[in-house]
Amino acid sequence: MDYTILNNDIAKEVLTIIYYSDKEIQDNIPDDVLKKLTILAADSNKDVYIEKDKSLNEQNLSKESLDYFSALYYLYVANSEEKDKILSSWIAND
Amino acid sequence: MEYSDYSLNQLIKNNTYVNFCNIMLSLPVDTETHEKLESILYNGGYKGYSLNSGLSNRDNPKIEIERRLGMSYLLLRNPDTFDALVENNINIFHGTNANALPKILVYGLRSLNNLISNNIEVTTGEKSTRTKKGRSFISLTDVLDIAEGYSTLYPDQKNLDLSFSLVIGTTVDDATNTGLFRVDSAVPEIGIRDTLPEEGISCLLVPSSKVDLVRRMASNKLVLAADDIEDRFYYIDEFGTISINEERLEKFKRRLAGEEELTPTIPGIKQTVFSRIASRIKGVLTDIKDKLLGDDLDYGLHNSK
Repeated sequence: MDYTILNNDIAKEVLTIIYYSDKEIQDNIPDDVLKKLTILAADSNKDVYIEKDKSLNEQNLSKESLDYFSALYYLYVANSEEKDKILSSWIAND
Repeated sequence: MEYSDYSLNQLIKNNTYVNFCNIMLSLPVDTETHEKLESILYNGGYKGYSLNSGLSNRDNPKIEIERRLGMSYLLLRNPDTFDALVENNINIFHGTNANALPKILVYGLRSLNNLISNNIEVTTGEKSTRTKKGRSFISLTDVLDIAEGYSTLYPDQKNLDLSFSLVIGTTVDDATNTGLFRVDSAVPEIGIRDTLPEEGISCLLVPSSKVDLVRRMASNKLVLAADDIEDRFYYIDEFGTISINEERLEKFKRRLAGEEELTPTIPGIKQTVFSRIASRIKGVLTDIKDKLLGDDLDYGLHNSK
């Protein structure tokens, strides 16, 4: 398995990324997804902080949480044109 | 109408409080806000809403002034929030940060000992007060400034780390019904026993930029805006002397005049999204479907390895 199953800590990190994303991203994540992430994150033992002025890739976050956040972005934020570009990029990066 | 045990005559013996009141009342606000401001500063309340809960372990003119400083500042920076607190009679607060938000939404506000005995990890400032004896009560206060002070993290690292402030609000009735706990401390505290259940939390105060998101996370919970206090322009010392930071006061005046502040966001989000690899994302998408969605979605990755 090339990925880690969504767990409490990943959920908390993903929520934190969403907290500090711009409004367009936040508004497009469905309420149900937010609530389920909240319930998972409630049992996380991690404190998660974002460092000002550092890019997302430079943050002290797991690559798993970046994968999950990116998947949510693909599913809910990207329009069809951007989806195609993201997909092509993922395949090319493999 | 007096809401406090301390008359205005007692408070205005503090010349710096007089100066603070003059500054606040000279700010450009509408007539209604001016009236509310006068009532808070001169009477310690507004239309039946009292800043003094009557439950605090300590009370004196300085503490009463602190109550009025904090609430008048909130009135000016987030007037709708002030109105909601008045309407719902919320005058007791607990300051924490966003790391505690998921736990609080699911489990309510629990004492340190309750968290430990239920094998729930502590991820808030209560950790810093853990003593050999533990902490079997929850600390609240009717001094909003104090609660907000606890909601800002690591003040010496403010430029490095972000986790937005979260203040929980409740009422005298809910605090009393939960069970009061006698606290002996140097700060004005209200102790309640063990757990403030989710239904006893009357409101959540978060920065304006987070209100919409937190409302969606916390269905049916009153979520109000209380913008960051990093630019608070006053400071009160242990003797009750209030100092004014002129630079911050000017910045606050500009904010009142409608100058928009930037909301901090993480740069480089799109670059990160584009940088993932398909073999990992395939599994992630399947897991999201199972854990978060339950719908069938065509992810378009059928032909990738």
